[in-house]
Amino acid sequence: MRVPAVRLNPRRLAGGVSSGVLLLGALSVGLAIDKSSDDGGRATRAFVRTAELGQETVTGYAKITALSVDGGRRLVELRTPQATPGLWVVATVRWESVGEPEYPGRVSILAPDGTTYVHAALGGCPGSNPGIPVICRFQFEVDPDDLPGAIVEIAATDFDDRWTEIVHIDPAITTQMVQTWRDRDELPLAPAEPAAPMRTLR
Amino acid sequence: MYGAGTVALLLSGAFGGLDRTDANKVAGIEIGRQLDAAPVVLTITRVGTGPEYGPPAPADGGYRRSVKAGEGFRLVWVEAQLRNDSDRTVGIGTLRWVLGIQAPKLWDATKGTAGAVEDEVELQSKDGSPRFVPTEAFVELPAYEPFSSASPKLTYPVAFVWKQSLSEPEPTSLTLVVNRQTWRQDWLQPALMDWKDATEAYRADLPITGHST
Repeated sequence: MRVPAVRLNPRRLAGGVSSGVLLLGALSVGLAIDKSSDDGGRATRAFVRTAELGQETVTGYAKITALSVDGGRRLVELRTPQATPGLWVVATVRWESVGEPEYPGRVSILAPDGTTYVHAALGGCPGSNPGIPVICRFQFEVDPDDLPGAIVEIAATDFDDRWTEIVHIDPAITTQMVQTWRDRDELPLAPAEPAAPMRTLR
Repeated sequence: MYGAGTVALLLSGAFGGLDRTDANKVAGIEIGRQLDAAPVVLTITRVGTGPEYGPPAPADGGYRRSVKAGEGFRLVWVEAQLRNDSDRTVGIGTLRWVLGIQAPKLWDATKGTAGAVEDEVELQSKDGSPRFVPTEAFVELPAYEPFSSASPKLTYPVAFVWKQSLSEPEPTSLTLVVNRQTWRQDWLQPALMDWKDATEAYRADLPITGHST
């Protein structure tokens, strides 16, 4: 039996090739637009809430109030290294879960140039049952030059792609405050108030 | 084959081109030289060995800060200056990949002397050959305190510590491997960024010059 020779239809071949070229062209143009319009996440960060010390912010997960920010050369807490090159800063935060038991996802200090100092100890806040607030303390080792103008960032959950659960608190840290902290040898880290019994933990 | 390669190259151009590869590969290590071990800059100052690392226990039975090898083991340690050159705090999960050593019969020094030796995990490859061994036993100097995170812009004097079985002869040198990591998105959770892909950037056999007692 004779096998018929395969013949390429020039019109169909040209159509396939041009479709492929158009598809790749569209994809590359899309990529170029995506890259050129990268705003560093400012569009999603439009949802970030801002507050001052003592001002409560209600997110979907918790009511959050930063009560104070304090600093010193050494942190009086056994599990934290004592002889460190940075300045220790402690942020005291009131946390009250909304809806179900929650605890903070991430707490950081953001320097004016974007440098991010992440809370230095594991855990840090036990969280709370809804309606029962707890006082939590978060410690950071920071380059003192980064402190004037720095803000405290509290993410109510660690899985927040749209930045809708983030609070930026401006503690109004001045150069004079930082100098006072530099001169203070020991900064007490009082134990956090005991959490109310948790029904469930996530 | 060249035709397919040319087509792939041309097509990649429409999407920003191919990534540049680093052809240099692995460089050497010198004592006192700054090494780019992203996210940190590492300057190795001394390599040593001994049964204990750190000051002796206080006479009043207070908090003991030294690391002890325990019976049947010696410690091998590397002292360095470590500066976080990134713009955010790096934790132990990243720091442990900065420096490793290749030596036989290494054990996890974070276990200290608690628990029986046979309960511990020997840090060897399955075929018994020495492999890259990171450590989780970090000591922050000069106070010999546990070290678990490095804040940006700050420089820490630290030591990396391992345990080695005394069945191995006393080493006169140690093979050090320093890695470099890349800040990138997680493949599965794009919202999560982290230092990943530890790649060997420096390697050298350095003589042991320090002896701790």
